[in-house]
Amino acid sequence: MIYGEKCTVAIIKSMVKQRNAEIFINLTMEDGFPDPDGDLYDLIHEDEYEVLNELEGSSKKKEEVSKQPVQKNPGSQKILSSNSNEAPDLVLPSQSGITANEATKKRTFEELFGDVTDLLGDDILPDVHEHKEKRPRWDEPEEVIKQVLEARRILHTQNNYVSIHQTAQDFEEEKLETISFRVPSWNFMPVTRPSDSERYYVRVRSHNKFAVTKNRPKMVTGLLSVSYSRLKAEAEEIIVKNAEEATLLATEPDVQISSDDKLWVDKYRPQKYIELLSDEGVNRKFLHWLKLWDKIVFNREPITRQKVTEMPKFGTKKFIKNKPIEGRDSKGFPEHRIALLTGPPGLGKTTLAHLVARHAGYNIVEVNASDDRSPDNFRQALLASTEMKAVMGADPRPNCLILDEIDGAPATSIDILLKFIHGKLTSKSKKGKNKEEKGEEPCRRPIICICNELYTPSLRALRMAALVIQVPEVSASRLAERLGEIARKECIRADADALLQLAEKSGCDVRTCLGALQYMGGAKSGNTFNLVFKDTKKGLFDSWKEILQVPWARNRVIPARERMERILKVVFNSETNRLALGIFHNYPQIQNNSIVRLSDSLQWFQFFDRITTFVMNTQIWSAMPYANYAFVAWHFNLAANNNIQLSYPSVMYEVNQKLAKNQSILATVHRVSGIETSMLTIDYCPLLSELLTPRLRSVSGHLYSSNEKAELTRLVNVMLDLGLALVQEKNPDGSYEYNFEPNLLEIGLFPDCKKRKSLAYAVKQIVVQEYEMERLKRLERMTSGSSKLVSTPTATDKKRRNIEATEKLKEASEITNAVKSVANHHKKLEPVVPQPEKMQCRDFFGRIISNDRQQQSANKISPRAARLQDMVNRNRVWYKYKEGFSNAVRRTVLMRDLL
Amino acid sequence: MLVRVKSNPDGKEDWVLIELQGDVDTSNGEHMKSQNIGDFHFAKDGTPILIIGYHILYGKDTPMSKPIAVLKKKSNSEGCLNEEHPAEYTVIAIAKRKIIFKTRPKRIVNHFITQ
Repeated sequence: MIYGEKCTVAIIKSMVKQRNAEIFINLTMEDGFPDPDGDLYDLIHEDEYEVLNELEGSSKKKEEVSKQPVQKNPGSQKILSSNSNEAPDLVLPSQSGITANEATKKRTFEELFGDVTDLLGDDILPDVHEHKEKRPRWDEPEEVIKQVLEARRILHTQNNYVSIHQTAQDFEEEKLETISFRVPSWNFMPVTRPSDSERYYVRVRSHNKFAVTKNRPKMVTGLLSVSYSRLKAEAEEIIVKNAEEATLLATEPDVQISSDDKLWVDKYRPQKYIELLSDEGVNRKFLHWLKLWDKIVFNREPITRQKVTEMPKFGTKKFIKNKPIEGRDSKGFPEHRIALLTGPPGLGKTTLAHLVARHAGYNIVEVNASDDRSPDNFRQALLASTEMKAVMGADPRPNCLILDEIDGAPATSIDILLKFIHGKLTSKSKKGKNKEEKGEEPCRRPIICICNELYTPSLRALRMAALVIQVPEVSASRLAERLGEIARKECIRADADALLQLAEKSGCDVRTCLGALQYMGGAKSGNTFNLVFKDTKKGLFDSWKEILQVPWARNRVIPARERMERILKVVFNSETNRLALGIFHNYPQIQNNSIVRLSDSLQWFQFFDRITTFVMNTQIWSAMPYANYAFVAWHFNLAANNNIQLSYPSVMYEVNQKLAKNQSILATVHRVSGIETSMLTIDYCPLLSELLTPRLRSVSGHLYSSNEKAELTRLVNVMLDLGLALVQEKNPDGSYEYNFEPNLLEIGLFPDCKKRKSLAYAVKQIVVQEYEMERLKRLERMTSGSSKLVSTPTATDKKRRNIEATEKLKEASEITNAVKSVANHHKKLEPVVPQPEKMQCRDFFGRIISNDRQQQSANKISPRAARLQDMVNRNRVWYKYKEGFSNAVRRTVLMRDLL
Repeated sequence: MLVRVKSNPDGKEDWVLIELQGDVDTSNGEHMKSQNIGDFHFAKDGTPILIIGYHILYGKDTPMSKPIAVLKKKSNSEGCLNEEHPAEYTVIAIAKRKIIFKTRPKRIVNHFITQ
């Protein structure tokens, strides 16, 4: 009993499924939108496909079973349609002509769709079966591509079908009630088929009603699929619609644009796989690769049914029965772990990747140039996106990582990527060790890379490992078609030729085209599109060239007016200052004989200078446009006919650098010596080269004569007073040399002047020694001299110290007077020299150790110190520890000591 | 030539060698003779402790692989020996253990010095 029940349930189920399938098939056909590609890959509709597949088997099995009972079913539409096909065989009364007609009409309708016409068999579901047989085999990509292209064509002409289809439905409704197997309730005429002597009942209608409303037009329009009146109505509708569109376009296209703030590029981004503009072969190849991941990501085992051999399964699963799937390795991973999409900008590579990944059921994680792609962050992004999964949210899908603009990523990051996909990358954490033990764990999620330039050096390794998919340019005609569609939707009147031209001009860059269309299309700018390309910008050199060269177009000089406009366009929105600088820098190279013109243009430079100064001072920027006309003047005065060599204006930069350097030198010297910078530059620097190079022999210091010694002391004092030092520097050729630091000498010399020969290296060494000694002496003097100000010694001490200090000062002044040529130095020097006393006399713990205190402690011994002294004296024996090992110590003992 | 070594008639003593890694010195260059070097203790756990000056040394008591004999020389000048035997040695003691101080010494009077 139980089994029996199950059986019936199963049958009912299969019948329901059959019904579902019927509906489904009808739906796809009635939409005129058989989207085999999209449908097949759509994972959401997976169930339906399985139903379809099951149906394949069940329908055939059920053929024999259900043939008889269903035939008895009087309401079956299918039987009617199949039987009506056989109408010619019937022996019919006069009314039967109607049915025949209807049948032909039906056929014509169905011929439009091309795959359900064959109704010859007695099969209950002939059309379903037909459709299944026509399903593209997935091992024949050309076939599939053809199908998709066909679908696309249908998509474009969709509107027409809808209207036609409605009429077709009308016919069917009529037909429903025309023939019956049983004795019907309406008026009928019995008919017998001679072949199997089956009895039919055909409806009888009142003649005039039929003649007026149905019969006549149908008889007349028997050749057309749609009645004439309908066609006419439709045509009128179209005309009205066109007229409306035209008026709409004429009235306010601008308003339309301004109200819509979305970029068209985004607005008309393809939403479905079928809408993709790029080449179908490429799309398919890419999608195929992505589907190879199904085994790994979704863990979908191939479905094994008894029909597998007969039926092409969708997706990649069909192959799995016996042979290994092509494009996969033994573990089920795709051969290429990475897909690399490459092609010129604006083709929709990113769009393709996003769409296909979404289509295959992935959650998209994108990393592009705007993200930080340093190796560490890159590693983090990789791990985060491929090893984790969103658990929150409505549908947690597996991630698919898209690395956009990968050619801009650093090479180390790409190394990491490569290591990662082969499972050799271990995370930096301590878990890494565990991983290694487990064995390599390759990446389990698809990674898609996108780049413009495939042959970037950093991508070389990636190129080897990845499946490279070259995205070719969109054909101009197809692009123009899409552009026209968009223009129509946006109510912009666009000439097909203009669109084609636009497409060609942009190099089939979809993004540029759409941008141009959006911004220029609405603005009635005429035919001249000024395209703005991604990543392209007119460089400074191009601008200079534009200004400094007479433009030629087809062997004739461009009229002055146009030239002027061009120049203004070039100057507009660019760095005018830099441009002017470049022209000023380059004009002497361009040979121009007319001195009048040169002077004129120099006056314009003056003008430009004044304008910019004015603008910068007052910040009245509205005056700035006047400066642009200077460029026009320069162009007409200076532009050369021949090809010109331009160079970058680096003089100003160099001069600025030099100025900053010199100023810093002067500032340093000023800080040390206290002499004002203007005085330094005018009074000191020119003479320094004389002062700093006395006549000294390069012999040892103590061999110097008294004269030379005096010179040396003078030199050292000058150096000390001005805060100059001799610093040893290594020359590029490896030799050493002493240079003044800060190099005040440089300021006093003009760059091209003959230099006085500087001191020999050996002499400079002596000078340095002397300098150091003198510096220390001064320091000491300074310390003792200033300590009296800080400390508060006893009265006697004070007296003594005062005397001492004065003596020292005297001494110092004597020395300085004796040796210095510039007497002023010392006076100015004293106040500004830092007082080193506090800084220098500190012990390890930061306590100040002054001489006074040491003296004090020496004189008055505290009781505690005394006790210590006592203890130390008492314990005379000291222990001195020695590092190392004692077992190496040997002492020689001689025999005579023993005897 | 023969050197006679004879054992002490009063019986050998058992000595312990003290080995220091370092020098013991006087601060003012005096001779070490009859100077008090320092204090020698044993801690409660048996660790030998030597205090020299303001240093404290921790040592270790170890047996020696080769015992050392302490000899006393009797030279000819003392007159009790004949020509054949210019010198004679008497074993006073034998050291079989040694206390070795090889670690770096610690200062024990830090606060005296710094204050």
